[in-house]
Order: sequence, then structure tokens, then C-alpha cells
Amino acid sequence: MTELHLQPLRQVTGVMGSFACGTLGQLLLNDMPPQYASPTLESAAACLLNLFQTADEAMSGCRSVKVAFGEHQILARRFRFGVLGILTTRAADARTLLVMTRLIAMRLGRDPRTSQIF
Amino acid sequence: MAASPNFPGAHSTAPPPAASDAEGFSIRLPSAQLGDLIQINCINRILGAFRLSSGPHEGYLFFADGKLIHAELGAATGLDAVVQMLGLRGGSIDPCVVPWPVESTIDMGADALLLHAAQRIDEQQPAHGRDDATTKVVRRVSLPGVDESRVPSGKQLSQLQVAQVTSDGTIQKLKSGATPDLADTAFFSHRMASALGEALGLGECRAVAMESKGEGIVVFKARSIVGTRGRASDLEFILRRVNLK
Repeated sequence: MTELHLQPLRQVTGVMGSFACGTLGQLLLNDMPPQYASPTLESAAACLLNLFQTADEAMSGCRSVKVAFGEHQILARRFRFGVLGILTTRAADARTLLVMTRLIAMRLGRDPRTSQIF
Repeated sequence: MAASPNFPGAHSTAPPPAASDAEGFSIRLPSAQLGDLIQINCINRILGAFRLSSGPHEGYLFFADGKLIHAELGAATGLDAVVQMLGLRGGSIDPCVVPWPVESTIDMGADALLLHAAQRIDEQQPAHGRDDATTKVVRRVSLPGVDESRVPSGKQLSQLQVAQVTSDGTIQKLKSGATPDLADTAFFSHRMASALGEALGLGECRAVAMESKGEGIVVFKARSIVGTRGRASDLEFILRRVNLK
């Protein structure tokens, strides 16, 4: 289920993988390292959606969430189709990642799997 | 030193080796700042004590497990001592061998410590006026890789709402107009982020940043869970501190 749309993200320094989920938490696209099976990513997607919902209750229109762990970060960005989650190391190139994320979002917007969900 | 209440002569159960005995180089950097030392020692999980000398002032810093666990300067201990040290204009900091403190007075990593110190400095401002030593302290905290002009002033920091909540959800403190909903957001978002880390095997959540158009919320774990809310530009300082910028 490796997705061509998401693969360019791996060219960004520090990016380990990414996945996209719908607004109900369903896994849409997966380019994460192989140890992350679909059920794991759906659990992660549910957590991300809950994070966005929590943020929405405190401020309107939360667009992105970043979570820092010991050596890794999860960057999540909200789109019409749902959420794009990116797993990075702490040394990720944030500027390039931002640009690449926008590019990926445009591609996803043209993909029937993600553009026609909502 | 011996008169200090935290140094009764009885060492803790695990007296550390002197920092000066550790492998590596002893380096003197004339322009180094205390904030640099705290960050480097925490990142490298240095175990040991350091003596700070600045004119008539002499203080001590104790590092263990990636945290500054105790500080004292004259009669001041803990965060108060760190805040005062940050206000000193210059001097020397050297590893030393002194009795290990019986109890921890700080127990914070560099990020949380320097943020708390900045908040303490901010809180002290009305009592001392804008041009006193504590105002200068904010300028003297040197952040590696950070454009100093972008470090917020005390006024900017005071524009951030801050809520502190315990790990069981009890609200500890609300500052600068923060309401209980910020504490709830901090608590639940930290819990969700922890669940995310657990699901993906990434370990403990250190910080969460949530951004909307022009404003944001940053949550990080120190002794308690701290939630800060404000304009995106005012939050940049904290984002850098928690390595999310």
C-alpha cells in the first residue's frame, strides 16, 4: 500500500514516512516504515483527530499539530480529505518539509481517493 | 557553603563523580552564557556540580539525569537562584567537587527551566521597573541558533496565557488571563499525544503545538503539564525551546 503521492516526502531530510487518514480516521494512504501496520496507523490517526478536535474546542480552525517525542516528531496537517501525518526525526528540514507538504496536498487534492471523500 | 541548609554535610545516597573527572576537553568560552551551559549539560546528561563566580557572588549548579536539580546563589535556591544567576553580567563557571544536595530544588530540563526562569523574570518586572537587572536578564539568555532580536521581551511573554495542570487533570495555576479551558486543552492534548506516542512506539510526549490562523497553543511537560496560548509570533520563543520550531 506504499503510495507514490507520499514518497516525495521521504526526500526531505529527516522524514521517515507519512500517512493520510480521512476525517473519520480511516487510513487512506500509507508510506510509513514497514513496522507500522495499518491497525497501528489507524490508532495513530484516531489520536491525531482527537488532538485536532481538542484544539478546535480551544481555538477556531486548528490547521496543524506538531508533537515532539524523544528522538522523533509527528507533524500533522489538516486538509479537506482529513489529515496528513508525517513522522520525522528531530533534525528534519522544517522549511523544505513545509513546501513539500503543500505540494503533496495539491497532489492529494487531485487524487479521487482523497479529493472526493468530502 | 557549609552553612547552606541544603548542604548539611550528609551526602545523598549517590554522590556523583566530579564533573571535572569526566572524559573530554575543558573549554573556556569568554562569551558563553549560563543558558548555554545549562542546555549543554542537560543535553549531554552531565552528572556533576559547577561553581559560578561573579564578583562577590558565588553560586552552585548541580546537574543529573539531563536536568538541573539544584541551584543556589547566596540565600537564594532553586529557580530563584537561577533567575539571579541569569542576571549576573559575567564571571566564570567551573566544575567543582562539593557535597551533593540532600534534596532537589528544581528538577527540570533546560527547556522547561529556561522558560520558567523567563516567566519568573517576567513576573518580577512590575516590582523592579523596566530598567533594572532582571530586564537585562532576558537579553542575556543566549539561545544557540536563535536570532536574539526575535527573543520576546517580558511584555511579550506576559501576553501568553499560561495554565498549569497536574498529570491527573487538577488545575494548578492560571496566569495572564488563562481560563480553565486552556488547562483542559493542555491536559487532554498531552494525553492524546501520549497515546499517539504509545501507538507508534515513539516514547514519551515532550511537547505539543497546535496552530490555527494567527494563534496557537503549545503544551509541554515539566513538573506539571503547562499549556500556553497566544499569538503565533509570541509563541515562537516557546516553540524553539521545545524544539518544535
